[in-house]
Amino acid sequence: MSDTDTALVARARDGDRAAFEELVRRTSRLVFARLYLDTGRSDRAEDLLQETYLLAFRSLRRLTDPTVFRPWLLAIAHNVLIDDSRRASRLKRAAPPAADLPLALLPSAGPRPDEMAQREELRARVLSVLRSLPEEYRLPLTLRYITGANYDDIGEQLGLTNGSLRGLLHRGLKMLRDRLPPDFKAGLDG
Amino acid sequence: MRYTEGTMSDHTWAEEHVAAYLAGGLDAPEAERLEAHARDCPACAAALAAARRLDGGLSVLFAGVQPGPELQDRAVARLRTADPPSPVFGRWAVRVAASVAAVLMLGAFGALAGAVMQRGGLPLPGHVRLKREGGERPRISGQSPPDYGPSALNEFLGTLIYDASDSMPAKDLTNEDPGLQSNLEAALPQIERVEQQSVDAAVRQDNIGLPNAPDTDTFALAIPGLNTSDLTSTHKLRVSGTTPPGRINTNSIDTNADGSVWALRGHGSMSNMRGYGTTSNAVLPSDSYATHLGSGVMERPAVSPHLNLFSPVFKPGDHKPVFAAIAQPDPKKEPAKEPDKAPPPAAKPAADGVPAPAPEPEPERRVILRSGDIEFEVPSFDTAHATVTKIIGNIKGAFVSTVNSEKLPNGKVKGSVTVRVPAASLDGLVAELRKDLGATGELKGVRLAAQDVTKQYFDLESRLRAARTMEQRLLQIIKEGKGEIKLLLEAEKELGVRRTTIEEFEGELRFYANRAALSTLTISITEKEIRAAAGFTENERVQAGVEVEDVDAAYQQLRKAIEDAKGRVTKSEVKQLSAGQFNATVNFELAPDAGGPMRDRLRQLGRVARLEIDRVTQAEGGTLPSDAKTRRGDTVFLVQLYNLANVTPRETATLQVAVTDVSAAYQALRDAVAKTAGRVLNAQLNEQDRTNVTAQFDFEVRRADEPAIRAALDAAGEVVSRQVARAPEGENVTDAKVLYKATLLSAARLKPREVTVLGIEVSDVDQTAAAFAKYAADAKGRQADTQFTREPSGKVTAKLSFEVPLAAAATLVKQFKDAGTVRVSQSVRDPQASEGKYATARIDVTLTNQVGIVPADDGLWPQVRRGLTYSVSVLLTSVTWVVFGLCVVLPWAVIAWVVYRTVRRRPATVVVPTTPPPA
Repeated sequence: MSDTDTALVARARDGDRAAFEELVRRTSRLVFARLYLDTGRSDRAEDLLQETYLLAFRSLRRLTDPTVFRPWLLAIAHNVLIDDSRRASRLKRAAPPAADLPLALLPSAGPRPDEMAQREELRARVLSVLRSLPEEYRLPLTLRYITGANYDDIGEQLGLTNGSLRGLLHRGLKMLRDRLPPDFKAGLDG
Repeated sequence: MRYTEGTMSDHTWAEEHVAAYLAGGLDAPEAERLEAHARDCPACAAALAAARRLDGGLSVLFAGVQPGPELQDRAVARLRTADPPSPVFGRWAVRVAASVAAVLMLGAFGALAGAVMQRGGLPLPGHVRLKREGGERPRISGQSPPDYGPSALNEFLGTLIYDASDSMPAKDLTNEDPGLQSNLEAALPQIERVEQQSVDAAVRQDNIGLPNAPDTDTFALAIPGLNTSDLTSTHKLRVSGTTPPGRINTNSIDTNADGSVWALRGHGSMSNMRGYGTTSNAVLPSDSYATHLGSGVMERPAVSPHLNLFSPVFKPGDHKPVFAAIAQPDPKKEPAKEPDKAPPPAAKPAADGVPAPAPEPEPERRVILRSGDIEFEVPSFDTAHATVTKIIGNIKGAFVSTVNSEKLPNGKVKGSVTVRVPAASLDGLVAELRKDLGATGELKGVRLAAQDVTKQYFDLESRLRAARTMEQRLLQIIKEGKGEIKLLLEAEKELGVRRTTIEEFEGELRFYANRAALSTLTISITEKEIRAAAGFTENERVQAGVEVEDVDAAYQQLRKAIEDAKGRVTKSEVKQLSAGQFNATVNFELAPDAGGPMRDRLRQLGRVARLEIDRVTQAEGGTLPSDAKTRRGDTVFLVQLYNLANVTPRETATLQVAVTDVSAAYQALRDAVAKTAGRVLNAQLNEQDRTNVTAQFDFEVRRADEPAIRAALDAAGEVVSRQVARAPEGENVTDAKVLYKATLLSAARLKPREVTVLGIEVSDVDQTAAAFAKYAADAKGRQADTQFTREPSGKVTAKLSFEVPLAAAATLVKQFKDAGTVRVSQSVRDPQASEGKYATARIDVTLTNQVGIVPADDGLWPQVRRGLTYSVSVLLTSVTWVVFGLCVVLPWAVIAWVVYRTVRRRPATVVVPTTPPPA
């Protein structure tokens, strides 16, 4: 973690809203990536992201060590996620959610439905592979492909130095490629 | 960190940096280096291409889900709208505050409910409200909130009836519209409604007395506008009685047929009936003619003899009065004569504030025939006849039509005078007759009758008119002389018939008119019967029974007394019966004045046990006048003298006397009886053995000697039972003697008053038994029984029985108990035993020594008992805890759980770690 991050955390803890906003900018994609990995849905991930930051903002003064801001934030995100899934299961138990059926019925301007389905399935598989990766490789790759962050952004989000990120990326990608299903690789190759 | 150049080959470096290169993580020289290597090395080129494909494929694959560059902005924007972190209250603070608020609310609610309950406002099951029952009456007026309890309902109804009854008399049901029949009908529902109200209230509220009306007669419902007569301008519905909202019996409404008076009187007896008037026979003024033809003219003469019985006969407008003699009563006089029935027309409407709207009534047309009988009993017929003649002479138009008289066998004269008087004067005549003849004679009966012949009269009139018209027609025909002779002859013949008919009608009408104008009064006069004077004779008969000591002496004295009083002895005998019994009977007659002294003389002879006096009065001659004289005849005496030797005493006393020495007491009692000259009937002394001595002693003594006998009895011993029987009073028993049946028994044989059973454990049985015997002897008791048992085990048992005076028993028992360990102690009192100076107590003592094989508190059974006791106590304690938990802990646990669940459901339940989890 860079010194500026620590300083920002310290300032935010004293009630500096601008500092916290800067922290948000620096970590939001990380948190998003983390949440997306678990949820598999970007809209939900974004909702949870906002909830996470709200919670973090409210309880920031309880963070004793400013240097562990990112793990702390990720832990909050994790709890938020668990809480949300618990609530979702309760809702499911209580009543079937009002499905977005009318919207789903609208003709999509994007790809055809079968392509969409195919892609969705592919995404799910890739995500599962990503989830199976160790934490340190998983996050950079997620940031890279799912949040579309460039190299610098990744480094900023993770609070990592250039060299370590290179290694992480290399080994993560290699691991990913090894674990990807063969048909996917074939699709890519073909 | 450029660490790679020197340490690794280009190939390795390139392989490792493909990913960074693709991500744009290499600066320009590094990118140059990698590209250069890839151009030379086919493996690296292939790897780069593959990596690029993968990279591109993944990027494309996730292109749709990438959040875009605005993600941060959105997150920041969302944050800006969020609340700043609460510096003071943490989440726990909020929870604690919520809990405190909940508890406070619960407490406040409980306190409120308790307060409400204590004031009786919240009826819980089983909590009966009786506080306000019979208390102050709640006002049910507008502002007080209604109470829905049953008692409140009663009270509410009570108020209702108060309101109803209060408003009833004042209720103005007057219909201001002087309309026709519909007015009455319109007014009736109001009557009904008011009544219904009070009825409902009265049914449920019997215990609330209806307030008395200030004036029992004030409840009147006046409905003007229906007057068909000038006699009354108001129809009254009057109810009298003690309760203003008295019920009017529907059937009792008497709509008078003539429509003139429509009055109803509910008297006290019928004030509880209910109902309301109907107007089925209501008469319309415009229809009066028809009404008069079709209705009677009666005025209920029986009810009101002072009513003017001669009712007016009016003709319709186109008729002139037929007979001048038919008087039209003065309408102003009429109400004055009968104020009760028909008040002045102006009075009531004025009272009601509504002017009488009476339409001009059609004149009345009535033909009434009145007649009457009156009967007197007078001393002299001739005088009475003269009086009648004189009275008739003073009445204008009246005359005596017939006089009959007849001499009866007993010399009395009986007769009748028939007079004809103008109808208007009939009542005056009757009143005068009653005054004049009633002064000397006696009014025996009056009967006044009226007969309504209006219908016949006017029928006749109409037929007369028709006949006259026919007569005119026939005359016309004859006068014109047209047509055939035969027809004319027939007309003549017909005319003759008609004229006969006309004259018949006229005659009949004249008869009616005559009868209507002059009423007939028949005065029956009878002379009183004269009765002869007669007399009474009064005889006195005295029957007496006298108890004397010496019958013969008393007999002689009585004979002498009779002789002194110049009496006449009719029977006299002296008898000697068995067992010294003497009887004497003397019957004699005395002058009435000597009766009293002779009775006193009898009392001097002895005790007059029986005295009956009859006084018989007999009449002599014919019917007895009230002032007949009484003559006193001779007084007859029937006297019996007897002595008391063989007469059973009335009172018998059966005694049981406890004495210490039966023989001595028996002797003493015999001496006492002999001293008072009593008569001994039975005496026996029964001495079977030393402890069982009884004596029976029956004797008669005079009442005067009774105290001496009682003193002797008290000296001998104590009376433990006494039964006194008294035979009914009669000739065969006497009160001068008392029979005593005394049984003497030994005091030692009396049943003990108290039996005490003691079981005492002592160390040395023999020694203790000796000590107990000494105690008993000191207390003047005796040892009745002693029994020692010695067992081989060394156990010694002694059964001792003591009989001691009751007074000493308590002390003795205490002494016994102090001697050792008391195992058994039981005390029974016998309620049948007497508690006198000879009362004893029995003490049964069982003495044992302390020898036991097994200690009392050891062994199997005590252990089982102990274990059971512990278990039960533990069980009971746990039950207490369970109940405590159910009643106290459980509710709070439920509340706490509910609060917890509520707080849990809040969205912000994410646990915020203070430190990150280990990576």
